[in-house]
Amino acid sequence: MPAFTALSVYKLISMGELILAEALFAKKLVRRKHFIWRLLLVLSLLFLLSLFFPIFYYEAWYVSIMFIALFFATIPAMKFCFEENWWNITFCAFAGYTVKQLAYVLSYTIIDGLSQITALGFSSTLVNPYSSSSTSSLFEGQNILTFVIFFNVYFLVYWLAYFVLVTRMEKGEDMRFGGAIYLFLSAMIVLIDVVFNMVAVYNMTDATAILIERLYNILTCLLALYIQFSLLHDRKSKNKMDILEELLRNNGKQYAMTKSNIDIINMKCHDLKKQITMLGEMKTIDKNAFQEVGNAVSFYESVVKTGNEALDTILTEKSLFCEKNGIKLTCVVDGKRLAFITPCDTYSLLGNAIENAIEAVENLPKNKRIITVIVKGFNGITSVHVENFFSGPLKMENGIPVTTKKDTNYHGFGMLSIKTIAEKYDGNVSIAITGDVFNLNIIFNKAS
Amino acid sequence: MINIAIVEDEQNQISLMKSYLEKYGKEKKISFTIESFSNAIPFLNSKKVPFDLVLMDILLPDMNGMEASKKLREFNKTIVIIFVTNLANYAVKGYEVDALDFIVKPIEYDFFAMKMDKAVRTILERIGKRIMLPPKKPQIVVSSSDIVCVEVKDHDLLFHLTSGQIFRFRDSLSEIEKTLPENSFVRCANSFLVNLQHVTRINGDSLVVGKETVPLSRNKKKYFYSKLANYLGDEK
Repeated sequence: MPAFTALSVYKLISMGELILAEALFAKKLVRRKHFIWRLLLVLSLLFLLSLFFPIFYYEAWYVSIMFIALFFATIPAMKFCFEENWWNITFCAFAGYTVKQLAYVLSYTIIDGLSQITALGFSSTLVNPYSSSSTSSLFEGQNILTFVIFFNVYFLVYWLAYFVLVTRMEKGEDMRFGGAIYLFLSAMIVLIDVVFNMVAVYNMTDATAILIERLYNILTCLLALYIQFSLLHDRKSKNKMDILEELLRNNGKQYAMTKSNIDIINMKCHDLKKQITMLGEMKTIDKNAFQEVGNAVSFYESVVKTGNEALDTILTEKSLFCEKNGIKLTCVVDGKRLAFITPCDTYSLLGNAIENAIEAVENLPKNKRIITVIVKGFNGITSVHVENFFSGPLKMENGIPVTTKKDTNYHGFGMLSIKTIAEKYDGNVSIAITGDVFNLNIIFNKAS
Repeated sequence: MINIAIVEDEQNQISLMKSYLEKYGKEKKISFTIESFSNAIPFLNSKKVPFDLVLMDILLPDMNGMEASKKLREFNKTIVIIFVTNLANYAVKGYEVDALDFIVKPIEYDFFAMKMDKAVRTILERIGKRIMLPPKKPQIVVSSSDIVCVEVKDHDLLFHLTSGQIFRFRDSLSEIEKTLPENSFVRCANSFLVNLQHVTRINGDSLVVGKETVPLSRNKKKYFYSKLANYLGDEK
């Protein structure tokens, strides 16, 4: 057997392709400290491993084991370089492997197919990278065109994978999904991709059979990627719902807390005012002192009274916050109009709406830091309206603004929460932009 | 031309508002007539010029702004009321007199302009747009705010007007729809176009607009509610 066989070189090239493919997905992983050094170390080790991995048999079963082993070696390699849990790393590894496999099979299929079309005058006896023949055979019968096609197909597949799949992933995202499904998925991919392919390479000679095997392989790869990414999407949605429920529960606790605080403030103010009035009637004391105390009490009079306790709570809480942060919050609120909504939901609904508005105005110049809340209605119809100035581009998705902040895990829940609560009561949420004013409009109809 | 009344007992506040209105008018190319009152009672008794908008202070001698607005609403449902005050807590009850909004003292220009934008939109919406019917061979001129709803029957359009009159001629609803103000006219069913200004009640699959009851089709529900939500949020 010659010293350097096609396979001995190819396993090295294959490792290179695999690492590149995994790198596409690894772009979304969080890197460890001294990443560059770790990466260099790990790359050298992987290359050495694939270089020196012994080939004892040029048969389907052995070669399958070899490629599977080399693939699995990249997983701890990634763990060493990235600060992520095993699930996320494995997700990227499998996605990478599938993409590489797809590129490989596709390029062979295309080249084979093109060389059948004699009109192209393109003849290449396609080299078998898995063969035991010497390396010189790697380049026999090749012309530049073959390489160009290989390169282009790989480039195209990798680029598409990046563009279609990786752009859907978010940095620091949780890619875990249901254990059982995942194991089955991975087993399926490995089996079909590696083993069957090896069987075909080493045992099939019929051109039609080979073509069919390749087409099945391509379809499986596409299917596997689709499943991986839609499971991810489902998991993301479920995750979002879990977080949303958690936030709503927290809101409930906060409501109870704020309400009791405000009750205390109310009581104290009342007592204080009584005392002040009494003292004021004693003509010997300095009036200025009273003016100051009076002012302090006035601050606490920003306790809002709308006829609805939950509204009073959230509006007071927010107006105190706004006052402290140089934001003008004005309210025209008919509290009775929201009596059909539970106190917790009222608190969350308005809370989120006003928080969104605060976020929009807090970085604006002082004269534009204005938020208005209007709740009114007639004949069973209730309208909730929050308006504020805003600046900058607004990304909309399904008529609802999407957060432009980078940390999408916790941002953007305000809008989702508002929508969820509104829909719980058969309400409808709508956004309108009038010039540089953002309007959030919610409508309920209790007459239907 | 928009007619504005300012009811305010502090002269410097009146001057401030007048200067803001002048600035606003120049920016938006709108002309105003402005009349000021230092007391609510002469304002209520004023029969000279019908005002479109009143900027009403709350803390006034003799009769406060809230009281005055209640009396005002007894004979004038359409005038736009904007409170100008530092008594934010009082103004919260502005819905009782159908106030559009309120402006906090000390009055700042951007705040003022934001509320004036809404007021102007509301006033223009109420005045409506001049519509000639039928469009190709005009026989009457109405304001879009006089139209309660438009119904398709056979191949004709029936315009139900606030006067009770029904005007009928042949035309396409989608063509007419394009000429009517899009914020207030909404398709609630395939053969019905309603004016949100006159919608008073919604009952599941139908809605009451003016004196008519009109169907609300299932697949137009969400769209209808969105448009209504935006309409109510902006005006009325």
